[in-house]
Amino acid sequence: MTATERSARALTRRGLGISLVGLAGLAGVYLLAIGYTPIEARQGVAQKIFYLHVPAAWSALIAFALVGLSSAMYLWLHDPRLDRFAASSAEVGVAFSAIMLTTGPIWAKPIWGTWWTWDARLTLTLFLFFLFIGYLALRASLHDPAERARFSAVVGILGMLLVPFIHLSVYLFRTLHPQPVVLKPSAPSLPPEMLRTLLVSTVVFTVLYIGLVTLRYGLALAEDVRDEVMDAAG
Amino acid sequence: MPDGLRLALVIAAKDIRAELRSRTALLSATVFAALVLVVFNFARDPTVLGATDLAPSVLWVTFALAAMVALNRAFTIEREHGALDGLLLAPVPRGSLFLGKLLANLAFVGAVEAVTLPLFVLFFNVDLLAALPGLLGVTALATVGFVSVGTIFSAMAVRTRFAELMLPVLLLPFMVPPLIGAVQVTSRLLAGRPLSEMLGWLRLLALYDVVFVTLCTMAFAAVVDE
Amino acid sequence: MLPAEPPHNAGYMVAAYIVAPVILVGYLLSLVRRVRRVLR
Repeated sequence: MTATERSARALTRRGLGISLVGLAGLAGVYLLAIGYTPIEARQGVAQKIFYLHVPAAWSALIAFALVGLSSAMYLWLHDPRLDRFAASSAEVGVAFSAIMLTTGPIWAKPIWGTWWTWDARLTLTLFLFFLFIGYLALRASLHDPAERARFSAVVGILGMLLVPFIHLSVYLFRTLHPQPVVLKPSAPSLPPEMLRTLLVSTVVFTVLYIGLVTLRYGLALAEDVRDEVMDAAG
Repeated sequence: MPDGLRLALVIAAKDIRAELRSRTALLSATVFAALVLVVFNFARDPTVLGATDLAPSVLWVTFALAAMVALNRAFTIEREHGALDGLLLAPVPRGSLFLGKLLANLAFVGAVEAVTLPLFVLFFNVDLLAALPGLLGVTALATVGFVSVGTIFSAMAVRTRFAELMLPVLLLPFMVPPLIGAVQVTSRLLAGRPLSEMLGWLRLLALYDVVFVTLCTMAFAAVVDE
Repeated sequence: MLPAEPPHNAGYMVAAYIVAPVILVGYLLSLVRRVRRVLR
């Protein structure tokens, strides 16, 4: 077993461990959300989806920013580790975006009466989701590792720079078509129990991000080792 | 004129001449655009939605789809003829290469738009005359935006097996800000609204163009060089 | 006047609270499966 293979195994084990810790933390968040936080008077119990929805959106955004940053650094430094990290962060980002995009409509339906609203956060995350998917689809269809790394890096950087424009567009659009704000998903001043639970949930989601990315990175490393062996064997 | 720019024009002229000879990209994109317009007409209930309400969206969706057809064909032809490899061997600065391709693609897409617009006026009975200069301006701004990103993405997509699918998957998110801006400005132009109501969107379009043309010019080297 | 009762929408909360971990665990399991295929 080569040193690289050993690292790959260690990373996958550590990633799995951290992820399991994260899942345990999530169970803790559920307990807090159900037992500790108050029921919001106007939104009812459904408001508690907030404790999943907001941290998931935040994690998806962080995942995306990191894909963009490591893409830029890859084009500068050409370190394959940066490419592996970008790919891992993108995949994990898809998972978090998916959580955000499913819990969003499930929350919106009872509160706003509609499954989808083109509000800034949901729209932006939808775009992140499509950008992630495009990024991963491109990677899946390129087989030369160097070409794949370079091309994905370009998409990563361009995608990162698209985000402010999406944000600006939605903002300009919204100021023309103000949404009838029936109930704001996050109240302007949160009672302390809600704030604390939200904070805990954000930490849990960060732990999940770290665990899943580590695991995915280990997988990427293992796959690269295997590909090198297969190429050498010819 | 700086050398880089002159080089870009030479490259653009070569591509345009090649396309004028075969005309495949232009023809397929134009036919496609006409078909899309026809479908839009039948897909709308005229008693519910007036033509003018839908007109800007219909126009821009048509432009966007036709642009993708044109971009795809342009790079596929390039790949079939292997002309790019020869250019890459020469010490051509990659930025100039990109600008040349961009200019050629703009010419293609512009030509398709120029044919689509009269068809649109015809099918949808839209009175364009007063708005025409503004319309040409916003069309230029938006087209530069999505063709710049489209040029670099088609260069990448052409290296994959399903290029016709990969290009839209990559490009569509990037087309949204220029599309939103273009539709907003177009609808105001057609309604005869004052310039002040469009300035925000026009600035967005201009900023988008500056940022992405610059970025794609810089990134092109990473796509065509080993 | 009595304050209005909060709406009865716990079903939505339950749905969301199930969907999120299903996605997470599903993704985690798929990663573990892919790792096993490459490493063991």
